[in-house]
Amino acid sequence: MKKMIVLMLVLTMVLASFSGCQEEAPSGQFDTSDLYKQVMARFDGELEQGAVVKVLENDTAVELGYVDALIEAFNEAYQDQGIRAERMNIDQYSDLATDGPYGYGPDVWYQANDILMKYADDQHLLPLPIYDMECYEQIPQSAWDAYATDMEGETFYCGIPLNVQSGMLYYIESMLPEDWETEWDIDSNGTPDFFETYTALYAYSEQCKLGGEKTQYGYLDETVDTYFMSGYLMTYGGYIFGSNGTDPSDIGLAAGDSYKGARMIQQWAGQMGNTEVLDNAFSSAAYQYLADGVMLCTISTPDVSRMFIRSMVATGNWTEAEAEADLKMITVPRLPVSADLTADDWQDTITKMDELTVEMTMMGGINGYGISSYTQCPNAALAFVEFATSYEQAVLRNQYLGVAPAREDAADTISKTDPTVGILFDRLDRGLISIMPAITEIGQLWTPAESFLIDLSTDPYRAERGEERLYETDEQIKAGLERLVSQIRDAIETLA
Amino acid sequence: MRRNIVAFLRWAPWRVRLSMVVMGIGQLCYGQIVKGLVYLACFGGFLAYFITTGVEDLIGFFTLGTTQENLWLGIPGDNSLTMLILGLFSIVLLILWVVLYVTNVKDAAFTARQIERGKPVPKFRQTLQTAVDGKFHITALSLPVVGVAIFSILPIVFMICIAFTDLGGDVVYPKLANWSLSSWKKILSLGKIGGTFMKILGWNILWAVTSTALNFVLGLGMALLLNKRNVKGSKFWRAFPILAYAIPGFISMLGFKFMFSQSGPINYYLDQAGLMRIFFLTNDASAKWWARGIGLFVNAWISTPSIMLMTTGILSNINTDLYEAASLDGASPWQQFRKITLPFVVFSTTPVLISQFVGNFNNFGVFFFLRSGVISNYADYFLASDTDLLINWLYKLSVDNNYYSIGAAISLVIFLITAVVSLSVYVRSAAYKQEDTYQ
Repeated sequence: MKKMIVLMLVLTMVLASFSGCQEEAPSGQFDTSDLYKQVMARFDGELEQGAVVKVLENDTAVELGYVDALIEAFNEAYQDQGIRAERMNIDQYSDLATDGPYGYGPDVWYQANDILMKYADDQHLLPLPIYDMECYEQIPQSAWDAYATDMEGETFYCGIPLNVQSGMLYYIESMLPEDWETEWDIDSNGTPDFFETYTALYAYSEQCKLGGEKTQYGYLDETVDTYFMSGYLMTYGGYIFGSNGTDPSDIGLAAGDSYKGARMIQQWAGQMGNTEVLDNAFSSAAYQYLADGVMLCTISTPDVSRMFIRSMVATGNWTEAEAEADLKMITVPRLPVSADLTADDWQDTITKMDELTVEMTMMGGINGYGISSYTQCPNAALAFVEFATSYEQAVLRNQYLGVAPAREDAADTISKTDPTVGILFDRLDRGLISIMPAITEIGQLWTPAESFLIDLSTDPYRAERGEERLYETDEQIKAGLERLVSQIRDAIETLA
Repeated sequence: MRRNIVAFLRWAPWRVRLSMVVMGIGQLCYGQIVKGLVYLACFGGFLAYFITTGVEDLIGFFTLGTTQENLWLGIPGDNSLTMLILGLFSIVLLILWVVLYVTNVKDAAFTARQIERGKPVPKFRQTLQTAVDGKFHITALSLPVVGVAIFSILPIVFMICIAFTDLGGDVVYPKLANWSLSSWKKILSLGKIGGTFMKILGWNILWAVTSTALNFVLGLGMALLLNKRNVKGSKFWRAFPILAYAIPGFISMLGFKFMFSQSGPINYYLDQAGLMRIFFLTNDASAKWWARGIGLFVNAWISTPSIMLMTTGILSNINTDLYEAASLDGASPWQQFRKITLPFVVFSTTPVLISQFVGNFNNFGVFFFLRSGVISNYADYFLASDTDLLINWLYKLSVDNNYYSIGAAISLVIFLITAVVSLSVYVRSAAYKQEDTYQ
């Protein structure tokens, strides 16, 4: 009897401890804490009859017809359930913080994670019941993390990742030099050497300058674009905000040897010898310049591949199908360990690649959908987001826009015909894509950083003009980066 | 004052005293039914407003909210900005109520005195007649005054209020704002904002004076040139500036931006000529005065034609006998210009020049179009470029970065400067002092 009582007591304690575990389970996957239930209470699955979900999408997707196709498909799928969606005009009441409280603005908003999370921080976007969504298992945690935010110590996700963005190298295959297979493929791997290392690309660009090549420039790019150029700083130890982009008090653009990366940006600006790249208007001109053969290659995000194709077709030299086949998008080249584009023989950077070069870390973003906190139809909006993030739509979005989906199953399917998607996933996995911090303070990065890059890229021209160079020595570049950090800190702290 | 009130209270008959308690009751007791009912309705309306929401709105004006809204949990809270607006509205209504209350008491007292003097109680028809006759100035002006109060004074008061809060930056809805002098401390301190403010203010004043003078001199010069009889085809030439005037300003600005950009035709031809490209508008120290000069030129391109057209009209009004007499007296053309033309034109155009000055001081478009998106990091500007005017900086702070309170404080400074300069120049001008001289 005594043994029985002891056994019963032990069993009771074990059961009690199990139930205790359940109650105190840390927030995270499938957490159904009271707070979570309370926040998600509005998503009760009852579609708001007669609701019209207003969708604000990005302009490229609208321009290339994807958004209309998506909305049409959604309206068709839900025509018997009493809800429908409609597209909002670009930038129409897109400031949820000022317009939302007064009933204006979209119900569903597609944007980059940093912009969406700026609004999520102040609760203008709703946390979403991601664990109940079909796409949850298909999207890697690193992509979900771009939309994570805390409330009372619990993690919520305020966006559904849709596609991965990062810089890719674009070129037109038929613009390659005739002799590239004999002169520029010394490792015979079928990839031009100048697309493998920046040292080789620099050497090829120098050759283009001498004339006689198909294009006037080898590599031409906007050296003042923070999104793409920050990769040079990050590869050598720089970062934007500490603690994985969550600590705005730790600004790391001058950290490590980031000045070495800045030095290379300056080298490129000097090599290009084209002051157009000092202006952010260059990015929109780049589509035409690539099609016109002004340069062999440039860097941009995957979602603008259609813009390049459109420019190629506009020249009359390609049909759409030919342009699609001729335009190539590959991963960015490797950077020299020496952080000097002229220090090594370019051939050595190919034959001793692992020894002399490192892979470049690029800034990236996770674009996705968020739902406004001011929506009158949260369930209908969620139904739209579920529909738009489905496997079919992810594949269709890629077909229209060439973007790399955040869904693994869609990425697998597309990778079979478009290796770019696989490359992006691989780079994301290996930490070579540094996701843009998703905190409000990121807004203070762009203008000071662009101004610094303009200043840095202008420096090679100062000597030509008999002016004093401002970034001639490593110390001067370090000081410039420190000044940039201080400007960002001032903007964050002085006005906080 | 106090003695008068005491004397009034001692004198006031019971009907007047009733009006002091409840608006309109005294009038009703005197048999002024319509007037009494109007006052009573107003009293009832004000009372209902203040009981239902007015008092709460008034308190909200001072607290700017006590409960923060939680949008995720659906917990309702206060919106500081809305509370500020509603609080202001309640203050306006309170002032209106006080004004109406005083008129109500005065009206009851007036009726009481009429009765004391043995005169009949004025009927409502007589009151209306007085309103359109003896007190017509009050009737005619009351509506415009209310309009000015709502559409001009209230927004300014609202802006002044914002300047004394900490609204903006991190403090945006749903977070609650507080009354604070922090914006003024930041502007007036020698820190980042204060330093940038002084630099921009200096350039802003230089810009406003130079651009106004340049536009005036060029406009007058062109008008004088095209007024000369020996200029052939003056009507044809006059069409060109009018064309520049007719084209929307921002199109011209974008055109000039392209012309002076790194990939624009000017740099292209410099390149072709074997010369170095010039950083006209780029973010570089060498571009500072280029960009400022281009700004002055573009502004002159857009504004000079209007001055030319105006001065052409003014010049045609000058009596040619004056020039004839001056010539007979041996005055040189320069002396004739200085002593006859210039005073006449300046006299007529002073108010326009003041408005041009204010317009140029707040000229947002020129540098927004020519040089947006950069900050002059070389000279330690805080979220501003070396060509930004206060209005551009205000835009960057308040729109791009949501720093509403600092934006409002800068607006207030702009308002004070332009108001003081405009008024003092106008009051000292011949156009104000000798209004009849040239009529």
